[in-house]
Amino acid sequence: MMRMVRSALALLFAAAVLYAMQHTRPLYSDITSPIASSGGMNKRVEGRAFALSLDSARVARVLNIETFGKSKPYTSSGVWVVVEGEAEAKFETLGLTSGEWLSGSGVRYVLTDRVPATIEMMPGDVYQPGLPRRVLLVFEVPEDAVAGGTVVVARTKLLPLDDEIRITTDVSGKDIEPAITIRRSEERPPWTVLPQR
Amino acid sequence: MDSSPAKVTSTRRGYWLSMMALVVALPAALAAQTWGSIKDWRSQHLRQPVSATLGQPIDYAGASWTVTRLTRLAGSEGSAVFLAEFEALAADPKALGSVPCEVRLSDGSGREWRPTLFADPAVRKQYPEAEQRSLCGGMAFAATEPGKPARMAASFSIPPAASSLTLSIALYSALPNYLSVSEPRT
Repeated sequence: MMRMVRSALALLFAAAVLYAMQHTRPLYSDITSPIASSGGMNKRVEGRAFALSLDSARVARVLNIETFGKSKPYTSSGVWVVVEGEAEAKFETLGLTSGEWLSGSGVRYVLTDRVPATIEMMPGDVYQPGLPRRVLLVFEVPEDAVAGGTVVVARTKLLPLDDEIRITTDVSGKDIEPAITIRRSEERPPWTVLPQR
Repeated sequence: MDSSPAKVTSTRRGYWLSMMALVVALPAALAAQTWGSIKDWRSQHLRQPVSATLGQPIDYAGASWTVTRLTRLAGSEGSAVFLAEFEALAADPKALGSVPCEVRLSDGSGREWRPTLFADPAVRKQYPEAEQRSLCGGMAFAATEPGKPARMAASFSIPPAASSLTLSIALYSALPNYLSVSEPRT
């Protein structure tokens, strides 16, 4: 009798352990998610393959793009977030093709595809070891996604366990400018954000 | 149920033999399963340099290769430009043209640069002939007649302080061997 009770208890215990394991097991996407390095504005955040610092994050209702003497306004039902900084590859030449705006509530917004290719945004550039380069990221987001937003940059979204740098911006969502102009420049960096601050 | 000492010993032996077989069979099965991946990893990561000297021809990947000139120039925005000019004399240039070729520049601290897509203005100004040359690969060999060398060039954007630079040229058909030429010390 005791033996049967002991067996039943062992069986129940095994079932409980299996149930707990099933419900606490991480998702595949969690196991292979990028390895994040975090920091704040105006600080160089070091990843394994690249380093990134952001020194300006501005929010505007209208984005003017000025190339070859012509200016075109881009309106939005949300707002434009224009972020500038500096990126540097550490060990090998690489591209930074993934840039996202992570809102305070956890919603991710990818880089806008409305800015014409004549303005060189971060994914269009190549980063060489030892040669820091200015980077420009432009996002179109709803107004309530601005406050406490984080910029997330990675080499690509497709490489599991790769580097990801997260920089929490200092934008409050209250300081929204009526318009910002990005002017193409022939010098480095190949753009200027106006009005200058 | 037979529980004679001989039967018990035989069962126990069988158990331990099975356990030992499992220790061998399990890694062997894993190795067999991942053999393709191991081979891929080896071909990409384990490389064997074939050292060459600047200006001296060396046989590699079915052609005679010569790194003719390695030049450092002042580039734009505080960078330096490293221009590598090389040529390959192949019996069948068209066949060599179908093999992917990879050119890299590395320094003493393990940093590695890929050639820039567009040459720096300094190269365009001072070495216009080199700027016109193709990077290693199909285009360079396609335009070459048998008996004439395919002339190639690669331009790198590097920090001016980078030292102990080594140029590497790897043709996929010759991996894990690759051609390695160090910048002469001045």
